[in-house]
Amino acid sequence: MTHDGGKFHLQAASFEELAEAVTTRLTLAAILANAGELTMLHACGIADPLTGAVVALVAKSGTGKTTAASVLARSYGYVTDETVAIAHDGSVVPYPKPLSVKRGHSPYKRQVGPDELGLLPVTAMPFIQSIVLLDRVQGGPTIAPVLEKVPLADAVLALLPETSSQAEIGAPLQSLCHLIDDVGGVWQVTYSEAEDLPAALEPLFREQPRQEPAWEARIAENTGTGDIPQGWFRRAAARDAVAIGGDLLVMLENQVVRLSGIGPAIWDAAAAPVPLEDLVEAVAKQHGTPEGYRAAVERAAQQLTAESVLEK
Amino acid sequence: MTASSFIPGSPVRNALVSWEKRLFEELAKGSDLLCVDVLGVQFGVRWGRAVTRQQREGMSAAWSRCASVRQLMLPPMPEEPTAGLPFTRRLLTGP
Repeated sequence: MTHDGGKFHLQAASFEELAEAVTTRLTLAAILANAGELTMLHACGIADPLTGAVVALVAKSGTGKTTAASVLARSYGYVTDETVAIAHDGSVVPYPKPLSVKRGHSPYKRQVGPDELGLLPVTAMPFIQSIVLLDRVQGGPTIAPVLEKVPLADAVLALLPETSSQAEIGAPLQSLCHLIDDVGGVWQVTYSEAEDLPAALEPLFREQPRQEPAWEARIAENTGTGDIPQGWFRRAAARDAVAIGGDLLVMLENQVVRLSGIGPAIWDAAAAPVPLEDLVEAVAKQHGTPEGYRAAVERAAQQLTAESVLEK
Repeated sequence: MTASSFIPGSPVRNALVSWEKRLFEELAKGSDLLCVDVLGVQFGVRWGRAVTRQQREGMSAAWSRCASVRQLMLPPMPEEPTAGLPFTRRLLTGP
């Protein structure tokens, strides 16, 4: 396969392999083209046929998205089984691609059109109404679906790995927090049978009360640049940071870290290069001076340095 | 090369044979394009010779809900880059 300025040449040993590669390549190319413009969740999307309200069911590959879509879209509109793309105004760009269905022992999935599966079309302008994490329980006894709210920090950390190019969006963590507030928080549904999902998710197609922000943005930029004096600390460059409760989520270049306990105080104090003593003082000011606190700050600073949150 | 360079009215000629003639030749061979809109991006997929009409039609049906409202027209290729392989297809993005 080659890529040459928008042209792609694909080859395969069988048509099934080729068809699957076409689907994958088209999806990836479209995601890259929309990077920084749309929030793209790795999710199946189902829409209320009358209102256009979309429920996005977020899950990793192979954990039930396509099955859920093929069941739910017999009574709701089929938006996608792959990527729910959300614009700034909350509108959803439909991607009603063929569903990739496993077939026997073939290593390649068959690309089956939604019409062939009898899935309903989306007839109203789709917009995001709810976001749900799919948690399918397999191998045990059948359980009734359980729907529960996910705490904000957990929701952000669960959604981020299931987004595409979120880091390309301005203030990526804040943007995601705004989206979560707008849809009234993130839900998780734990279930064993996809057939039970329509009834369990029915309330989520109705308007959810907007969630009041339970987070605040933190300035992620460093105030000090240049060399760090020997033995001093400075936080690493971050794309974005949000405080949620007593925790701090920091998006670095290649990862998101959650700082708890004295971690946020250390991060706040290290915007410019500082000696260990300044970190100790900042932590003491916020958390008091219990026995051994000095050693605890030193250990935490070393640990954060090892995790690339701080630089020495 | 983008698809918009090859919309009707903007014929592109190569040294060997006129664009129109090769287009008709390709149409006669049944190498129709799959034109789809994926998240607002237009794509044209040209199948290789080894892909049968039934397989092409099956993919068109499977992708029908993503069908592009704008039918892209791509120039015929002087030679398929992977013509010697069993299953090939060429894919070009629109503007």
